[in-house]
Amino acid sequence: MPSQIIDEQACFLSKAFLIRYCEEEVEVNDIVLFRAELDVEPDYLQTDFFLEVDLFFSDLSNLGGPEKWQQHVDEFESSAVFKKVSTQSFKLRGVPQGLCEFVPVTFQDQYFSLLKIQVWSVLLDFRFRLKQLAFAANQVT
Amino acid sequence: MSLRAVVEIVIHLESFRNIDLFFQGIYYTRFRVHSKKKQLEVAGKAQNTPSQSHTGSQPPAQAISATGDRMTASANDTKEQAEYAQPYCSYVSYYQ
Repeated sequence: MPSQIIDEQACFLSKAFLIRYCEEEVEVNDIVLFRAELDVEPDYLQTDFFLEVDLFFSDLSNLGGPEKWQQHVDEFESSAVFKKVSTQSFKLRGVPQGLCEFVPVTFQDQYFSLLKIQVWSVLLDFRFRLKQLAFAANQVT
Repeated sequence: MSLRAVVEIVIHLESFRNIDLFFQGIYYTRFRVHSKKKQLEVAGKAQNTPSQSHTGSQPPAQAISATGDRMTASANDTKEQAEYAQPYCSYVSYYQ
């Protein structure tokens, strides 16, 4: 399952990868660009952003499990049932002032794993808006 | 009518390492980025303020609880609305 952007939910899904062994490391190597707009007002450069990282999992039980799912690889995208198993949130400080950080994302408990990501940010431009832009996922909970 | 600053945030996913995953199967991750827009209720009139200020001694990125306790902490007379950053472009590697 390749990585994708879902505009309606304002989210990015990484590629799906199979985990079968202890200490297995998968190179993901996906890059995504997010764009946000802020009101220019006093202290807008100190606005904090929040990064939500969710881990989704499918045990492939309806495709024969991790051993046999490749026999049904054509049905994978339509049949696999994923559920959210872990989530991590980060506060990103000083994003409008420019950020360049390595962030190790650690998922806990039964899904103890490490996702290595890097986060960059840049203040790119100023726009004069006659109307408030309604981003698609403003009301996403 | 307002002046808006455009900010871009780039996230590079390097690798995923299984330390003690209990279940074999397929995994993927989902990313969302948002800012909090505070709206002060002053005599029935909404007024926008930027979110919490940044102090130099604090780390640039900090993990917060999964339930988002810190994210929802706010004064009684303020409302916070999440404003999501829109992902608009991705550079992905392909399966080999």
